[in-house]
Amino acid sequence: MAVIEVANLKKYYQVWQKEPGLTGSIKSLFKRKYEDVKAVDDVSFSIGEGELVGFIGPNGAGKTTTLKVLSGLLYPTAGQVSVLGYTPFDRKPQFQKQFSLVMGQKNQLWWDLPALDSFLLNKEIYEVPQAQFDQTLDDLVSMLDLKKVIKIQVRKLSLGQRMKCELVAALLHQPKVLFLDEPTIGLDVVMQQKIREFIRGYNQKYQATIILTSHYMDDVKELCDRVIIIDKGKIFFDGKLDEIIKKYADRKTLEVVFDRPMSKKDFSGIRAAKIKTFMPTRTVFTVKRAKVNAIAAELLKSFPVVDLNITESSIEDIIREVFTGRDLS
Amino acid sequence: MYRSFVGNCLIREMEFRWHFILYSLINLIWMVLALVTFVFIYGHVSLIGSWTLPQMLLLTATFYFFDRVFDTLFEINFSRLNHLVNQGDLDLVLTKPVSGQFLVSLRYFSFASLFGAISMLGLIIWLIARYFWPLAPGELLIYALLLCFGLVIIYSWWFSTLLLVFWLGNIDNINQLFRPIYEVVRIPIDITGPILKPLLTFVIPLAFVATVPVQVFTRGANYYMLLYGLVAAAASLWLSHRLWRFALRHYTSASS
Repeated sequence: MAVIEVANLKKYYQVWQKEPGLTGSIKSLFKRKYEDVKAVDDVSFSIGEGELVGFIGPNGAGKTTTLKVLSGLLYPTAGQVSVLGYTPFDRKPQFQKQFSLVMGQKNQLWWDLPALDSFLLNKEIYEVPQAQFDQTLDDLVSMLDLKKVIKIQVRKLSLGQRMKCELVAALLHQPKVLFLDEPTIGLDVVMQQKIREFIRGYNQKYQATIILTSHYMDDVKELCDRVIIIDKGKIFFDGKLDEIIKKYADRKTLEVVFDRPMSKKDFSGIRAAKIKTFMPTRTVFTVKRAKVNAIAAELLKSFPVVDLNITESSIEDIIREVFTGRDLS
Repeated sequence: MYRSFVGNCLIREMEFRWHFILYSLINLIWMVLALVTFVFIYGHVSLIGSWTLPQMLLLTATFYFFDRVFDTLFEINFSRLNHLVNQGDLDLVLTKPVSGQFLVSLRYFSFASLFGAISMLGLIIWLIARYFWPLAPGELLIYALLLCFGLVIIYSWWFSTLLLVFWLGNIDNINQLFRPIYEVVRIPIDITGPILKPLLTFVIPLAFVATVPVQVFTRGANYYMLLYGLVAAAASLWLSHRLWRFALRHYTSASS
C-alpha cells in the first residue's frame, strides 16, 4: 500500500527581478517585473511502506519544495498529495504526529540549552508517553553514541553532534514517515558514514518510509534502492539506481597509464574516444560501449601502455552529464 | 507543554543574568519616569478631563502592568516572527502537531519583563488600598476580567498586523507597526473626543487595556462593558486565527 502518493503536483512562485545597483533598486520601488517560477511542475510518484527513496537533483531542481509540500508547509498550486492518507496542508495533528522533517541546514533545538531539554519539550508537544520516551531516547542515544553529549548546551556542540541531536529530536515520537533534507551536509566523511548507518538502522528497525535528499551521491548509493531524479521541477527518472546506468550510460570509462609522457595531439587519431581527464602519463577516456574493445585494442597496439582499466561510468558522472544536458549517446 | 516553554526560558534566562538585571532596571526607570511626569503635571492642574491624580496614576500603573505582561507573554515572540517567516525557520514550527499560531505567539517567555509587571502590580495594590478602598463586591474580579479581555484583544489585533510579513517580505520592525496605535491607551480614552472615544472603545476596542478596567473603580462596574469585552475578545481572537490560516497559504518558506 502506498504511504505517499503525489499526482500532478505543481508549485509555482511569483518572483520579481531587480536590475543591479542603486538605480535598479529605485526603479523596483515603483515598477516590478514579476514572473512565475515553476519550482515543481507536474510531478507524480508513489512510495510504499518501508521504502527508502533517494531524491536527487541539482540545486533549485525542486527537491526541497516537494518535501515541503509533503510536510504541509507549502500549499500546492495544483495537484493531489496524500501522505499516510492525509492531505498534508490540512495540518491535522494526527498526521503531524506520524511524520518528521529533518533539514540539514535548519535546527529545532534550543541553542542555549542542552539538547535533552529540547527532547523533553518535544515529548510534551508530541504527547509521547513517559515509558515510550525513555525507551526511544535510550535506543537513539545508544545508536548515535550521544550519551555524553545530550546534557551539553547545543551551542557548544560540533556540527556533527548537533546533527545527531537534531535526528534524535525528530525521531522521539517514532514517525512512520521521515523526510530527510540533506542530513549529512557539511559533515566530515566519518560522521556522514555514521549518520548513514543510523538512517539505515532506523529504516529497518521501525519500518519507516523515508525520503532522502542529498548532494552526496554516497548517501544515495549506500542507502537507497530506488531514486527519483528531478530537474527543473520535473521528474525524469524514477527507478532502481542500477537502471540509471542502463538507461543513460552507454559509455564506459577507459583509464590508461603510459610508460612515457604523451600529449593530447597523440590521441587525435582515436576519434571515438573522448578525453575525460588528461595527464601526460595517465589519461581517462570515455568510449561508447560498442566500441570499447576496438578502442582498447588500438590503444594497446599504438601506444606504450603500461596499464589499462575499463569501468562503468560512475553514477555521479552520469547524473552530472544528464544535468548539464550533454548527449550521452 | 506551556510549562516546558516557560521552564526552558527560565533556564535560558539564568544563563544570562546580566540581561535580566539590566533589562529590569531600565524598565523600572522608564515606568517611574512616566508616573513622575503626571505628578509634575498635576502640580499645575487638579483634573485632566474628569481624572484626578490618583486615578491617573492607577491608569498609568495599569497600562504599564498590562504592557509588561504583554511583553512577557507575546511581544518577545512577535519580535521573532519576521525572522521566522523570512528565514524559513517557520518550517520546523509548522510541522509540529500543535497550533502554529500558539507556537509562534507563546513559544518564548520573557522573565526580564516579568519584574516590571510585578513591580507595577505592587503599585496598583498600594494605590487601590490608599485611594480607592473599600471596593464594592466583585469589582476586583471585574477589573481583572476586563484586563484579560484587553490582553486577548490587543494580542489579536497586534498579531494580525504582523501577518503582513507573509506578503510584504522582510520588514524588520513589523512588530512595531501596531505600537503607535497601542500607545494611545496610556491616556484616558474618554478625553480623546467624540470620534476617537467610540472608535477606540467599540471598533478597535483598545480602551479595554486601561481605561475601561480602571473605570470600574472610578465609576463602578458596567456589566454591559464586561459583556462587550467578552464578545470583542472572542471575535478578535477568531478573526486573528482566520487571518493566520489565510496567511499560511501564502507562506513561501525560504531557500534550503
